[in-house]
Amino acid sequence: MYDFYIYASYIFTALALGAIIAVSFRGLAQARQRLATLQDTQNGDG
Amino acid sequence: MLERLENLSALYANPHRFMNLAARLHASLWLTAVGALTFGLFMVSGVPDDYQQGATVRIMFVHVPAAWMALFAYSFIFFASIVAVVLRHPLGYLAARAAAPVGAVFTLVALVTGALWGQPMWGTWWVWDARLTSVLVLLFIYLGYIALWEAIDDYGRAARATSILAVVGFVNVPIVKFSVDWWNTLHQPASVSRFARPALHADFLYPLLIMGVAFLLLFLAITLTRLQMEVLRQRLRVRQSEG
Repeated sequence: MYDFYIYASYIFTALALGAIIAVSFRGLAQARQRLATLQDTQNGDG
Repeated sequence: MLERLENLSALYANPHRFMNLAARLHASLWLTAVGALTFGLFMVSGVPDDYQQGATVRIMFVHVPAAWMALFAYSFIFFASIVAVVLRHPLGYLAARAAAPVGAVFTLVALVTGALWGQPMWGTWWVWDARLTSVLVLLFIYLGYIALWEAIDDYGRAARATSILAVVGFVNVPIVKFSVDWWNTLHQPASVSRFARPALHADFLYPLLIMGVAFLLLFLAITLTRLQMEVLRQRLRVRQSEG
């Protein structure tokens, strides 16, 4: 009878937390890559 | 006391030292969080129906821990901002900035799951009572804090402005917590904080506490990931300004 509300709660929680986890790991990977690229560029210039 | 605190904070004030510590902690923290969440969900799967609320009581196991984390994350931002301003700890601003989107997501989860619980139990998705409204205000404070970081280009000015907002916005945290005691609300009062005589049966209390620990570990793991990201972005900003 109340299955919709229960499943919707758990699915929304999983999607919201999954999204912030994915964005955080993607941001970390991008920051690492950009820093490595900048270091390579600066080393090449030096 | 302040000197001891300064010595302790100075130990990890060096971002290189912090990044080494974070790299060691990162995987084990994530594994512990996932393990606790799996165990918590296993416990929830065995919970009986409530005699009044029926199966909808299962919504409590995501709604209540998310609401706890919404308040905890803002308290974390408040204390990190205080540490940054008073002790001039370089990681304070970055830790506060890293935690804000995580806290905003937990607040949104608390609001949405609360609405999904309210509709079958109260017959309405939303009421403008003190608890629901103050949590909505908390979400707006999170969004304002995040927007302020993005709106100011100069890092130092952005850090100071967001710290002021974080400290002023903390006024809302006790309002959220005690709103159900101070005003007559549709939302029920706290059930777990009365440890002497909790209003919850052990069948519900222990799975709820385990889910609470799991959400706390999840908050710490996500914030640690984001804090590493913020430290690297800060290094990028410094190197780009030098170059």
